[in-house]
Amino acid sequence: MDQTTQTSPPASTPNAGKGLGIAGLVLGILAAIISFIPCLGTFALIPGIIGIILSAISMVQANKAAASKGIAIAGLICSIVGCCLAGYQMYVLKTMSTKGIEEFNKMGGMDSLNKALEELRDLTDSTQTH
Amino acid sequence: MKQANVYVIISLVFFIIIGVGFAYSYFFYPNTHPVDCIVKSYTGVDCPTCGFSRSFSHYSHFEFGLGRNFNKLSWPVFLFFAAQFFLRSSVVAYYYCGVKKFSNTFVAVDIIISISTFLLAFLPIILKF
Repeated sequence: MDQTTQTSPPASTPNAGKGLGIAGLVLGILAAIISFIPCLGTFALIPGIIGIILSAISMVQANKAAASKGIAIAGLICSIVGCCLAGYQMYVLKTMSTKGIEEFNKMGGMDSLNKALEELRDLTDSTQTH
Repeated sequence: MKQANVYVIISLVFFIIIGVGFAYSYFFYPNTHPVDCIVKSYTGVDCPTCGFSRSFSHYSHFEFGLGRNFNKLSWPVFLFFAAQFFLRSSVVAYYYCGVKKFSNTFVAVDIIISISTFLLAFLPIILKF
C-alpha cells in the first residue's frame, strides 16, 4: 500500500472555531443591546442573523475538533435573544402601522381628506376676497 | 488564560464600538443626524427613544442640562455607555500594561455588573414601549 495516500486523523486543535466564536459573540451582544432600543430595534436583525451563522459555524468546527464550545453557545444565545426582540419590535411596528391605516380608512380615508382640503381652500379664498 | 484573551478581545471591540458611537454623537451636533427613527417615520408617533441622538450630542459637548430636555430617559443610558467605555478602556489598558491574566471571578463580576446596569438603564424604556 502506498504510504503517501494514507491520511492521518485530524489533530486535536483546542482553538478551533474560536475566532468565529468571538465574532459571533460580539455580534450577538451588539444585537441584544440594539434590540432594546425602540428607534433602532429592527436593525438588530442584521448583526443577530450574522451572529447566529458565525456562532453555528464555530460550534460545528469546535465539535469536529473536540474543542470547547462555550463562546459559540454564548454567541448563539445572545444572537437568538437579539433576533427575537428585533422580530417582536418589527411585529409591533407592523401592527401599529396597519391599525393606523385601518383607522384612517374608517374615518373616510383619502376622500374625507380631500374634502377637508377643499373646504379649507374655499375658506381661505372667501377670507381673501373679503 | 484562554478566557482572559477572549475577554480582552471582546472589551477591545466594545471599546471601539462605543467610541465610534460617541464620535458620531460628537460630530453630528446639534441636529444633523443622518439616521431617522423608524417608528416615527412609519407611524408618525414619537417612540420612547426619540430625542436620544440629540441628547447624546449635547452630552458629548458637556451640555448635560440641555441634553436632558430632549429625552429624560437618555441620561441613565448615556451613563451606562460612558461607564462601559471607561471599563472597557481600563481592561484594554491593563492588558497592554502587562496584566495578562484576568481571574474568572473578575470576569464574572464584570458580566454581572454590566448586565444589571444595562437593565437598570434600559428598563424605563422597555416599560414605556
